[in-house]
Amino acid sequence: MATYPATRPATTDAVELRGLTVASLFDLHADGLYRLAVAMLREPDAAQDVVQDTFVRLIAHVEAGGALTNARGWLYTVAAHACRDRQRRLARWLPWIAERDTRRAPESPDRRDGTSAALDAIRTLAPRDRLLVALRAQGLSYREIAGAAGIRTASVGRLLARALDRLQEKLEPLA
Amino acid sequence: MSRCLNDAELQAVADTETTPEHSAHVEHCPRCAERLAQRQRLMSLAMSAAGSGELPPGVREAIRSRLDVAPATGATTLRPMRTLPRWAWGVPVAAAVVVVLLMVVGPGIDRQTTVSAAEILGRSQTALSAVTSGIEVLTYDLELAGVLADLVPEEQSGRFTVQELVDHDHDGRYRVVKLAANGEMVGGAADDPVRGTRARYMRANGRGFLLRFDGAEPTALSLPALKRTALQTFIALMQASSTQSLREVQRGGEACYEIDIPGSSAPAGSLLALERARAVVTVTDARLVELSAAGRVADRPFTIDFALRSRQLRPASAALDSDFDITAQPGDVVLQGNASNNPVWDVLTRALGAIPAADGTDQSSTNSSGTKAAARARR
Repeated sequence: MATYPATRPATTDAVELRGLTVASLFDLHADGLYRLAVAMLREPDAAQDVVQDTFVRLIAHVEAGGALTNARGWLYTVAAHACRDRQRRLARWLPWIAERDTRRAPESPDRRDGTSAALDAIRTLAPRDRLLVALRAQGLSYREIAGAAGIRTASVGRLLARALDRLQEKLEPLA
Repeated sequence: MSRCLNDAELQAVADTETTPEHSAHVEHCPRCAERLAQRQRLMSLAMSAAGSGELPPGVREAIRSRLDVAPATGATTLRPMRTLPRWAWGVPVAAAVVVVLLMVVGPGIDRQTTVSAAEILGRSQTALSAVTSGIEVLTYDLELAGVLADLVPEEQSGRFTVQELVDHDHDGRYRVVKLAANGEMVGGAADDPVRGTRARYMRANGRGFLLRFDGAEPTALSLPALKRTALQTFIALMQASSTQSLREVQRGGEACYEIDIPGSSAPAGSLLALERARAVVTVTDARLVELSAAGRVADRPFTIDFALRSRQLRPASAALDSDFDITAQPGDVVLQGNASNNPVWDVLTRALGAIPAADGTDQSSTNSSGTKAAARARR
């Protein structure tokens, strides 16, 4: 029995949107967007910024009379783009030099469960693999994943399968 | 029974995005059922890792409360920004004072700073034209391909080692020679305004041609200056890219920055457009040691690879006249003439002058300016 969230058809959100406000969309999706951003960016502060930026953009989009037939897909697409932009900005900087980093590790580094090891492994995946796994983890449909990742819907299954295979390769040495 | 499912089809089954046929197959195929179970276990682990966690309650409440009242237009912040007590402003001020003291008093202290790819590229660009003195001797590998290689004879394309001498105390005094892998000179240029000589060398159709000119003035744009300008142009294009990545690498035991432009679509119609590039720059003096670039010139593809092998600085007093000249190799054709202010035109007219006239008269003894010249082939 699978314990991960099953995908939901995009029309569900379209129906839900009737009568929904920006605030209620926030209630529905803020945590999922945050989890996506944490998986992509590692830094909780940066992930919070992504959630905030996503809803700031949603407000502007709604105010401008923009279409929102699939609110969930729209939100995750905007958040994925925000994560990608931040990754690019981060890639232009060398924030620290390993040899000069004298910080000490936590006292109990071994107290990690399989989940945190898996999250670390996900963060070492290539950006697109990481994005696909993180989007799928939030229960998005293949169509929504395709929209957010900028790939064809027909390619999602194949690319997701490969991403998970690569994740498996990274997890095997830890097993 | 139908064929077993591939990984993508099995993934679709796991994701409930499959077809009824594939679902039915898994129900009746023990092998696919086992593979599906393995995939589901992996997905469960990944989903619990990337699918758990919540927005911190304080942040959630702050954004949520502002969403209820937020004026949409112009809103830029929803979650609370950290507010600091009044005394806390003294901390950054004190830190700034310490930083200034460290920069002024202790520049030798190993500072832990951040540095951007664009900044490094800018330093490298500046370093290329840094004022120096004496004789600079550079050895580097150079490879041109695509449209840039199409512009030169076959013997001149491919990968070469280039030796470059530049006299920084005399404008336009230099020598550049290209050596093939076997050490054979395949091209070169040497200008010496001090002696008023200019030499050009090239191999074509299996034979070397050396053209010597006397009475030469410094040219407006020397070959090293042209190379420097080209490298600066590539660096400027890299600086303009929005997809730079930066990491630290070692080259010959020296710490370097590697800036990578992984790939971008060049706008059509540009005279020069960069599609991908990689530069390696030394940490200590921002010296460009490697540059690889691919792009399009007038919509035709090209690649260039530059790798610095060595760099020496000699005192100007150590310079010999022969350092800025090119010696003919056995079997080379040597043409001589007087120089004008146009080196390219000199080479062309001198070469044309060496061609026997259609009626069989040998005109090679007179160059375009009517000066006595000699053409000879040494064996």
